[in-house]
Amino acid sequence: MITSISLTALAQITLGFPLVVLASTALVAWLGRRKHPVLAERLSGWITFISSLFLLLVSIGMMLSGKNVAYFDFFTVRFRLDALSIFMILLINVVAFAASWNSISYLAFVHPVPQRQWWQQGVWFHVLINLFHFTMLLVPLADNLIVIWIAIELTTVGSAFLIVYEGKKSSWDATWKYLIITSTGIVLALLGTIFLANSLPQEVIIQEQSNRLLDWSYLLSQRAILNKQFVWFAFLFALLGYGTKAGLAPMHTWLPDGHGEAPSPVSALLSGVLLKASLYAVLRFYTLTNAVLGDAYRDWTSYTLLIAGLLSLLTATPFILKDNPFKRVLAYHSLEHMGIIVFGLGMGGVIAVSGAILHMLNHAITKALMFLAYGNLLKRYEKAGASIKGALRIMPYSGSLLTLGGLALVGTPPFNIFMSELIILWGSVSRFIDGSQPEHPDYALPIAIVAIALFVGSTTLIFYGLMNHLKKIVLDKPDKEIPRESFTWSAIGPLLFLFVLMLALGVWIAPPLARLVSDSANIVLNLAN
Amino acid sequence: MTLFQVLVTLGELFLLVTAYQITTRAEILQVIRAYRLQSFVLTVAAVLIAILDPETGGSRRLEALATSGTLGAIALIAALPLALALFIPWIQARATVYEPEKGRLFWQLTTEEKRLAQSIWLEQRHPIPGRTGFVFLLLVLAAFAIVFLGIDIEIDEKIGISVSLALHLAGLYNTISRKDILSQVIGVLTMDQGLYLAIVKIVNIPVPATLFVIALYFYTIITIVILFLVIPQLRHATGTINLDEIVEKSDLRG
Repeated sequence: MITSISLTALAQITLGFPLVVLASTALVAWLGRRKHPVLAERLSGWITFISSLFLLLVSIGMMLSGKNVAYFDFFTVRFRLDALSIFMILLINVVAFAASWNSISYLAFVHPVPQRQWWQQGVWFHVLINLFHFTMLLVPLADNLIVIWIAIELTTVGSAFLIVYEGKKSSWDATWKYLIITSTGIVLALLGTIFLANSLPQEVIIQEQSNRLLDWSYLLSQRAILNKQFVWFAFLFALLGYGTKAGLAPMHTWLPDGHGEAPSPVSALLSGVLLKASLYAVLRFYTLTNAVLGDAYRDWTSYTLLIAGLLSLLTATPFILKDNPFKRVLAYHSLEHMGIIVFGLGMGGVIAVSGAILHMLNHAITKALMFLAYGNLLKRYEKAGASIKGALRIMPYSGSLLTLGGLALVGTPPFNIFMSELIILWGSVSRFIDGSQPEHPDYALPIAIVAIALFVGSTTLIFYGLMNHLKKIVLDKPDKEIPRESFTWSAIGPLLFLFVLMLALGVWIAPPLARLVSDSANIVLNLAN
Repeated sequence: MTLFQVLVTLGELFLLVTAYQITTRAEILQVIRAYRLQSFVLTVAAVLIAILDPETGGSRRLEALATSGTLGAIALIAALPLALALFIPWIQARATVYEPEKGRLFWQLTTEEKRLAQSIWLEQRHPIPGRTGFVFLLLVLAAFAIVFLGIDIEIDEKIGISVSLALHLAGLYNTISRKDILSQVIGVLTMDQGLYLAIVKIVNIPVPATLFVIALYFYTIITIVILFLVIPQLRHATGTINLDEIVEKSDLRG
């Protein structure tokens, strides 16, 4: 067993190491940009791949440590690990590893466009990926809510350059929408954080006089003295603000454009990780708000999330049924699954919340697989100037993994999404049939029945919609003959890695992961103390 | 309320007047002018709020300000709207006429380029719907109602937070309803002004306020990316700053 000191060291590595990698790739790109751009691109690609593997192993080490809490100070800012942040770090590193692996093959296919800007050169791609990875890791590591805000805001900078990497007209359009909508949201999230700062009594502020005042753990310890009205407003603004970045309806409109236009490894990171990192911030506010407002108001926060979840789910459904480009369909699927996660959180109870947290990981893995597999298809078919049909025949590896990923995404057993959706549904129902649960108000049961019916109805329609899209892609007759795909590790390896995880999590949740999920649910529901 | 507090409150309320101008002006040049005025007023209001002594309601002595650490924070806060007030016309004109082939990130606009920018702005004069003023009034009333009915605090704090919230709502409305990308980004910047004001209001907490100021500076990075990079490139790629035309030409549908 790794001791708690080691957990602190692992946390420090998770903060410091990506910075070193970022600096190294930037140096390699800078030195090689003129005379040896191809060599510099490959070198920074391999540095990124190996470092992301190392960070994945570090996060597995965190999970296996058996300890949940560690903290350290950097200058005057506190960084803190608990089960929820370890879970998030693991999620981020799983997807970042697969995306950085796949981006080696992705870059080999991107044709140079004349008059490219510096950030659209291959040598800088990995620098931006590392910047994006680092800022996302900063979110779960930080205890201070302003630092979390800064980290989420900085993810926008790295990701915006990545979305526009291919430099198409539509990419600029998508980046514009992404920046305007998410900046608007992030302003509201900071306003929420300001409201939270105002909730502290003046005497406490004068006594403490440090950055700790806005540490999540400190605020939670001071829950009894926080101004309830300010905390409630803070929650609403944080939900609106971070919810925009998390792609929740009705602030989701950047999502299909951003995910659709970004290079596939970036789409995997956006959909798999960025949305969850923003939701993580919402969870911190949610826990704090429930702790401050007490059980009497818990229903209000839960119903707010439930409405947000159902709205996202219902908004996504018609767009998945429509004949849209497949990457946009996948983006709407992200909206659907964010809706499912928030639905589970809104239903409340340890089981449903555990299911929602597990679903964050499951969706990240499956969606990353889908984007990377479809990215492989896109590159080959675009090069041949053909529309994407008959992928099972022309691209047997990527096509079959895309099909299996699609089946998983719509909740087919024995894959991971089925498992977590089942847990969410079971948790939602069991709250009302389990006699050990506290009494519910009269309106709770009808609301739950309607919500569960809408959930089941939407997911069934979405099942039909995605299968329809997949059928065309993998089974229809191709327009013209395209050379068959051969196995390459950088293109297929990450897909296999994600597929194994997808299948494994569908049939068995390893005890350390189960403990991490259950501890995370306890933190969200404020049952940990 | 002391005279000092009255001055601060008047400054805050004047921000609403400028927000009204931003919302109801049809010409881009007028919108930019109103935004500049708002930024100058905010700079003055930020300094006034910083030197306001919360105990007495009068102005604080300079040494008291320096020892509490707020002076540095307030200088940093005031620098942001001031810089935007000074440079926004140049930034917007640059965004309107920038050609990537020139490869220059910063350059002095020639008189011809300025004229060209202003003529493009005039072309983009879209009539403002008659209901706009009424919508603005409703948003301000909503902001005041939320704060006055929902939060139990001192009256001057209530006014400050209400104005901040009203600037957020007005900025949001402009971002959604405007027909050109330059005015749309002014909407986002108006929301920023609301943030500045909200942060200045809690600047009597020196240490976390500094962290908030750092957050604002990081936020400025996004604003710079939008203004210096995305708007010029988008305009160059689509040949227009008109949102309807951009949407019409866009491949992003469904």
